[in-house]
Amino acid sequence: MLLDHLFYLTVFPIFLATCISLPLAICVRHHPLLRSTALGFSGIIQTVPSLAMLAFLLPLCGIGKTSAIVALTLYAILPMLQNTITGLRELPASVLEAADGMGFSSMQRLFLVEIPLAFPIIIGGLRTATTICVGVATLSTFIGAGGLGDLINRGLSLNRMPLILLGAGTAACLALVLDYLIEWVGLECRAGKRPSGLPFRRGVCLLLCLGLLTGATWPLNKADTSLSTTTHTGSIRIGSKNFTEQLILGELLAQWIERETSLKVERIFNLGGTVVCHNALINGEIDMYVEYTGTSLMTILNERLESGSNRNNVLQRIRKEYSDRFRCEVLSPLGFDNTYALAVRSTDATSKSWNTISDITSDKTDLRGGFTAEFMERPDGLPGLIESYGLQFASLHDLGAEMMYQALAEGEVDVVSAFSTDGRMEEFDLVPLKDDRHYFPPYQAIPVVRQSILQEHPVLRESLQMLQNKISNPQMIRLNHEVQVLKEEPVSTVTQFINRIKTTQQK
Amino acid sequence: MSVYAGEVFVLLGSSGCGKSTLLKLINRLLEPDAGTIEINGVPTSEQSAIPLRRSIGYVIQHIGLFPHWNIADNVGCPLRICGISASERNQRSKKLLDLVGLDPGQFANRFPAELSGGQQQRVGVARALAADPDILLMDEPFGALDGVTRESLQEQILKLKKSLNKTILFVTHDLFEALMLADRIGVMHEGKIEQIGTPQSLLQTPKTRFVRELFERPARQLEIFQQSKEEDN
Repeated sequence: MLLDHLFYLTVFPIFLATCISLPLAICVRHHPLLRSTALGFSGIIQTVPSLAMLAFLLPLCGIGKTSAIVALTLYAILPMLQNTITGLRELPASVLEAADGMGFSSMQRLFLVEIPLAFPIIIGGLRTATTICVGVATLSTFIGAGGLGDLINRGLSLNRMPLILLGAGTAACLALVLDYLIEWVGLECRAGKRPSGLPFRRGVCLLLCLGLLTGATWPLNKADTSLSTTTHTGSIRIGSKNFTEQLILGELLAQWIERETSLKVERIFNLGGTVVCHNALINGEIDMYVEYTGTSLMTILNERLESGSNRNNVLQRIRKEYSDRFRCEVLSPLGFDNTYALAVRSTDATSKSWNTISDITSDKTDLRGGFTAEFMERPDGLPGLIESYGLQFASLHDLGAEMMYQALAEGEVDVVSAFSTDGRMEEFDLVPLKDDRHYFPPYQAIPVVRQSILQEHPVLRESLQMLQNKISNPQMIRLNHEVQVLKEEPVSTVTQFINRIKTTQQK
Repeated sequence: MSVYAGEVFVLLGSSGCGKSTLLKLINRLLEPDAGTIEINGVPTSEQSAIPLRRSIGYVIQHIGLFPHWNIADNVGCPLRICGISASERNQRSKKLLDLVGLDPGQFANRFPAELSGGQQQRVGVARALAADPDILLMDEPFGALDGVTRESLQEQILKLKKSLNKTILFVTHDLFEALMLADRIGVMHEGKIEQIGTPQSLLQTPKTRFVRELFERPARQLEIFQQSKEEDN
C-alpha cells in the first residue's frame, strides 16, 4: 500500500509532470502571451477540487490508477511550470549578456547556463509538487486506485480513528521524507558547491530511471486488475460503496462465493458512492455489488416514485431497466429494507406511544427537528414528507450526519432522519418510526451483477440466489452494530454470520 | 570610423552617449538601423552572428562570470562551446590566469563568489582571451571597481597590450583612463562622434566645443584643487 502510494501515485505522476512542465516552461518563457496562457490553464486546473477532478476523469479513464495518475499529474504541473518559468527568467542579466557576447548558441546558453542557475528554484517547484501529490493521492482511494487513502477511507467508513490517523500520519511522513530527499539532491547538485555537471547529471539520471521504471511496470500492474470485460485471471470482482453496511454486504458476497463455489474473488471495496459503483459496473471494472432499489430508481434511473408504487413494482421496473439498458441482472433481494426513517428517543416512543410517523403529527406541536441539509433540500426528502403527513415542526435544525444521533440523545432535538438499519441507534437508545403512509420509496438491498459474468459462470446465479431473504432488518442492524459500535472487523462479522446461516440451513 | 590592427582605441563619452551601443554593434548583440560594420574588409552582416562572437573577446562592466562554475571552467568556457577537450581547456586556463596576474594554483578551483571584484574582472579578461581572438571589446570593464583596483587592472591591460598585440576597443567615461590606455581616442557625445585622434591631438587641437570643454575640465578642477590648498595655508 505504501509502495503503491509511493511509486504509482507519487513518483510516476511527478515524473510525467516534469516531462510536461520543463519543456513547456522552456518554450513559453519568453513569450508573454503563451506564458500567461500556460500558467493560466494550469492555475485553473489547480483550483478544481481534487474529488471533482477525479469525478471528471472517471468516465474517461475508469476506476483505478489511470484516473488517479492523470489527475495527480495535472495537479503537479502548476508548481513545476511556474517555478521553472520564474527560475529561468530571474537570472542575472550580466551573466546572460556575457554568455551571448561570448557566442553561446541559445541551446548552449539554455543547458549550460540558464538551467543550472535556475536549478534551485526548479527543485523548489519539484518539492511543492511532490508534497501536493502525496496529499492529493490519498483521495484516489475513492476511485479504487489504492494507496494510503485506503486506510483513511476504511477508517471513515468503519468509524475507526486509529486507521484514519495511521493513513494520514503515514502520508504526512512520506511527504516529509520525499521533501527532504529532494532537498538533499538539490543541495548536492547546487551551483558552486562541487565541480559542476556531474552531480547534476547524476540527479537527473536518477529521476529519469525511477520514472521510467515505474512507467514500465505500470502496464503490468494494469493487467493485474484486469480492467477489461473478460476476466483474464478468472476472478470475480466485487465492489462496494464506502459506508459500513456496504462493506459488510460486499464482504458477504465475497465470502459466500468463495465458500459455495470454486471461483476466486477480488475485493474492490470502498468506492466513493453510488455513481462510482454503478459506472464501474457498467464499464466492466467490477462484476457486482449490492445496490438499493430506491437508489436505483431515483439516482441511477432518475425517475420519481409514482403514487401507488410498492416494493414489487419498483423491483420489476428496476429489473427490466437494468436488463435492457445496462445488461445487468438484479438478483433476489437480500431481505432487508434500508429506507429512510425518522428516529426518536425510545423514552419518548414509549411514553408518548410513538410508533409511526403519523403519531408525531399534531396541531399543537413543540417538535424540534434535526436534519441534514441534503435531506431538507431534496424534494423527496423533508418537504415531501411534511406535505405527505401534514407534519409540523416548532423549529428545524441543520445538523451533520454524525451529529444527529448525539443531538437527539442529548435532548437538543426531538426527531432526526436516520437509516432504518443503522447500527448506532441502539447505542444512543433511539427507535425508528414506521412510515405508515409509505412516503419513502423502498430501499431493498439487491445484488446487481453483470450478465456476461453470469453467463460465464452459471454457478454464480445459483449460489447468490441462495442469499434471498437471508438478512432481515433486525439482523442487518445487528451486523452494523457489531462493526460500528463493537468495532469488529467486517471479515469476522461476516464469517460468523455465514456460519449461522449454514447452521440454520442444516437444521 | 576606422580602427587599426594592434591599436587600443578608446571610445570616450558620458553616460548615454551611445558608446556601449556602438560596441555592441560590432559583435552583433545589437543590429544597426543604417550603415555597415566591416572587420578585415568583410561586413559583419554577412557573417553568422555566433561564430563572429566566438572570434571576438568580450569583457563587460558587471563581469558576468558563471557562478556555478569554478574559475578554471569560467576561463575555459569560450573553448568549451567550440568543442575543445577538457584537458586542453584546463591547460589554457592556467596559462591565462598567469597572464592576468592570478596564481592558478590558488584560484583555478575557487568559485566566483569567493573572489573580489578586481579578481573577478581579471578572470573576465582571461576568459575573453581564451580563444585567442584578434579583437577584444571591453565595455567599461573597470567601471564597477574602486580606484586602486582600477589602476592596477589598467596597468595589467597595458602589459597585455605590449605582449599580445591585439586590437582593443575600449569604452569608458573616465578621461584619465582614456589618456592612460589609448593609442587613439574617439570622443562621443549624444550619439555622434565629435572627434577622433591621438590624445595629444585632442588636447592640442580640439575640433568641437564639447571636446575642448571635456579636456579643459580636469585642468579647471586641478586649479580649484590648488586654490583650496593655498587657501588653507
